[in-house]
Amino acid sequence: MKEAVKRQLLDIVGEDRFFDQDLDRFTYSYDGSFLPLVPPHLPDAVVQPVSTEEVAAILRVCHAHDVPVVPRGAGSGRTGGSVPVAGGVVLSLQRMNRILDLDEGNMMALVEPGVVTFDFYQAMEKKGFFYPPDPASWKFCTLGGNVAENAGGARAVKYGVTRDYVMGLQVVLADGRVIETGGKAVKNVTGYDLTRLFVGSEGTLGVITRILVRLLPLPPAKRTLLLCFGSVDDASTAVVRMIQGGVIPAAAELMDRVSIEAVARAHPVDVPRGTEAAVLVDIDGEPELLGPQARRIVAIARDAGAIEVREAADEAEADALWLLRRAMGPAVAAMAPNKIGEDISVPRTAVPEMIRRLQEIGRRYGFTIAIFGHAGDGNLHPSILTDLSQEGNREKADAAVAEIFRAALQLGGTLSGEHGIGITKLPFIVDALGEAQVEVLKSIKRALDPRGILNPGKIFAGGAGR
Amino acid sequence: MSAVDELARIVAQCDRCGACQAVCPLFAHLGKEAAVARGKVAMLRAYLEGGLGADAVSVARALDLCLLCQACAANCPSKVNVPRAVLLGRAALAPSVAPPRLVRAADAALVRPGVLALLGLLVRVYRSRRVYRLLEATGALGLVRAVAGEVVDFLPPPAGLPGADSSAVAAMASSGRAAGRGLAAGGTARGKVHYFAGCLMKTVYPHVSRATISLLRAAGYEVEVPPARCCGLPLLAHGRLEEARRLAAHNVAAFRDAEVVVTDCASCGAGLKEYGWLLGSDPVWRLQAREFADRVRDVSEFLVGVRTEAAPAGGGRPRVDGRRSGLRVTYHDPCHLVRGQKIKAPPRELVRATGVEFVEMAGADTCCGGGGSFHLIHRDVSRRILARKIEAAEETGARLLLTACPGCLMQLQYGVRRAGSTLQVMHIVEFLHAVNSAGAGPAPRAH
Repeated sequence: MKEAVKRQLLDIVGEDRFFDQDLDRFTYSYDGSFLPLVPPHLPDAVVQPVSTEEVAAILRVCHAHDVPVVPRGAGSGRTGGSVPVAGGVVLSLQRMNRILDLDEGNMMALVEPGVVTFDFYQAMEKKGFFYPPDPASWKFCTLGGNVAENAGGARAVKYGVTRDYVMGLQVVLADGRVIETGGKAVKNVTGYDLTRLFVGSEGTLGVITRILVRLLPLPPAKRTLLLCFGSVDDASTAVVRMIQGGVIPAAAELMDRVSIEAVARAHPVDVPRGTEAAVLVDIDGEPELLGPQARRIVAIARDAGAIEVREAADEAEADALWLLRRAMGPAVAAMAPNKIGEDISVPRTAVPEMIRRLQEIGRRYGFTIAIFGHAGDGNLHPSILTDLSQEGNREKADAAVAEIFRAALQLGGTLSGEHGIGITKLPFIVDALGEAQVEVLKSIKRALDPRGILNPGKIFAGGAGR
Repeated sequence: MSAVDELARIVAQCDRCGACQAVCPLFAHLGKEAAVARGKVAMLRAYLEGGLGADAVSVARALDLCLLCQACAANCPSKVNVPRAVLLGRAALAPSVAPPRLVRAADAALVRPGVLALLGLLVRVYRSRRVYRLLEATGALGLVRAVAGEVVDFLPPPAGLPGADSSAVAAMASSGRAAGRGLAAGGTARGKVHYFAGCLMKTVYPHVSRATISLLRAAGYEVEVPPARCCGLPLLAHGRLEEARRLAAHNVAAFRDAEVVVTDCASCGAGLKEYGWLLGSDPVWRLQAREFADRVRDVSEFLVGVRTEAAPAGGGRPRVDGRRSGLRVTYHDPCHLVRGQKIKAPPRELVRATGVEFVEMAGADTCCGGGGSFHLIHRDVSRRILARKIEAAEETGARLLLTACPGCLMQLQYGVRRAGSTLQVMHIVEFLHAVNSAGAGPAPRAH
């Protein structure tokens, strides 16, 4: 990094929030994705701003000197979104973690991007409000990262994803100008919907410094059921019929046998023999409606061939059942030296066929593939378990991933439900969107970031300017 | 498996999800990746794979910045044993860094029983009221500080002097308001236990040791105190794996005849219970070490067992009616007890059984910032963590803050003095001993 840039950045944030020692640079070279740690993608420096003004000043400096800027929250992304592949400055936003305002009348809150999702959820819960998006990483991921990746979660089947709660954003543009999109008006067709453009933009169009989200009233009651099936088909059928029948679960999480066994290695897990798939179902709402809903779910599940149906008796039991699901990603990862976790999304009714194809791909390549995901919305997380240090496995895994993506696209699905494209799915974006659409993305990128300093090398190849 | 192989195996299990960020006390205060478990595991992995691009010294320094509180491991979805990785990493990097003077001095003392005994004597002299007053009056206290450094600040001043333990429990006990259904003192011996006296207990808290021994005796046990050496945990924490193993082997031999090994130091207990691992690659000691580890009990774990066993007979259980004492008590979980030994309920049960009002404090099981010698080396962040801990204890409105590890005890007492709080900090056995002695005679002074 040029001495002049370093000096100016130090002037903005001071020594305590500027790091450029080798080790600090290394620790901001990775995220929660399966990209290899070495050789590391080292940033030149890491800065931790605490205000919009500081972010704007940093961007003005970086823009003037063509220094890449990579926004980062908790670094818990799964596709390399915050990995500084082109070096430059990692803009660590974890210290911008204040909840600025709660407007109870309009049921909206204004937050900074570094607020941890779960902390926000709890703060709102205390006031009787409900912020539904609940990515599995919500205990440690940040709202800024959720917005940048348009994170989903288990509740998406009933409540939608992060996008559905963002009413407005404060964004620092590549050159340091600050804009505010959207607002508290529920109906708003003044100009293009820039709020939606920035949601899911993966840090490539601007740096999000404030987020206005809408809230719901807290559902007064919740129930949790675990449905065990002898086949994945039966499990998927049950979920499709539930939703068709008007019982929309607050979550319907599918787990295959391999995934359940992975969690069982570290936690007590109790499912009947012969379970090939389980579905964890939450229902929420008025307490008097939950009894009849639970009974209908049980009836539908049994009709679809469930071998066991269990309802959590209390909150502690519900938490224990949920642990099964929340621990799943990392627990599956612990089964092999490498886990290549994917995030495909298909129409709900295509889930059984997608799972059949996944299993077939696994057999053909000789990989164990663990499958879990959000059956209610068709978003699946197949994980290829392998040892990439073994000769030839890397190539085989790449080929298998390509086939998985192809299968998802053939079934009317897409590359990513909630993790974003980042680096790991970049080679497939043209297959998913087509040349023309990718050109449109690039035009937007050029318009907002002509010098290509914002998170370069992500989403599509050959970004503008660099 | 060699230490480096084991290290490589552990760090390969991390999938870098980042869950440790939610629980690491250092990360909460420092907010940078190098401070959190994921950062340390990643740097170790890259270091072993040969692509880190940072030198061994900076890695060693980063590894040094860990409380070994185990919060990361307890909350890790993949159950990555980060504390062990940190220990093994420190051992692997030990040849490339010189530890701070203080740490070197402490390690040197810990492996020499004679030096340790001398230190114990010095502490006793320092803590005698007359000597302390003399030091204070002549200004020599400053000189002591200049020679011994900040260590002195962590020593509790003599009883009865400002900043020392006031004696809430002793007062309660001697007021006679406790009901006085004490232990079946000196009853038929129910068996023999061997008491493991940790180094801090011997040098700074001998009165706690005495309380533990007399509680065990009162519960009907014959108590033997074999010549224990340091449990090895501090040396392990300082990357001195081989010396830790030698000490472990000594202790296994010294307690060869013990059926039950009881300790009142949570850190020693956690260390001792890991001997099976520590000596796991030693063909001579492996089996004995594992058997030894299985026989180790924390004092609260042991006493709760005694209570349960003795309940039908009604005798010999440490139970005194403290209901009318009006004393409100809270408890801090030592990391090495709640996570290191998974003991959470027993100390609470024992305290509740006395009938005093027990109030849970917020974040009872988060680290106090002590971390062995951590508080002496990383003073800033340690004090920030400690200040929050004392606040949480104060918020309960308790008069007494109990804990179960001399390391925490020292740190918490320091924190209370620093904050100018009126809280009294005590080891749980001091408290139990005081309430148990209430009916039987004068309560022991805190000193």
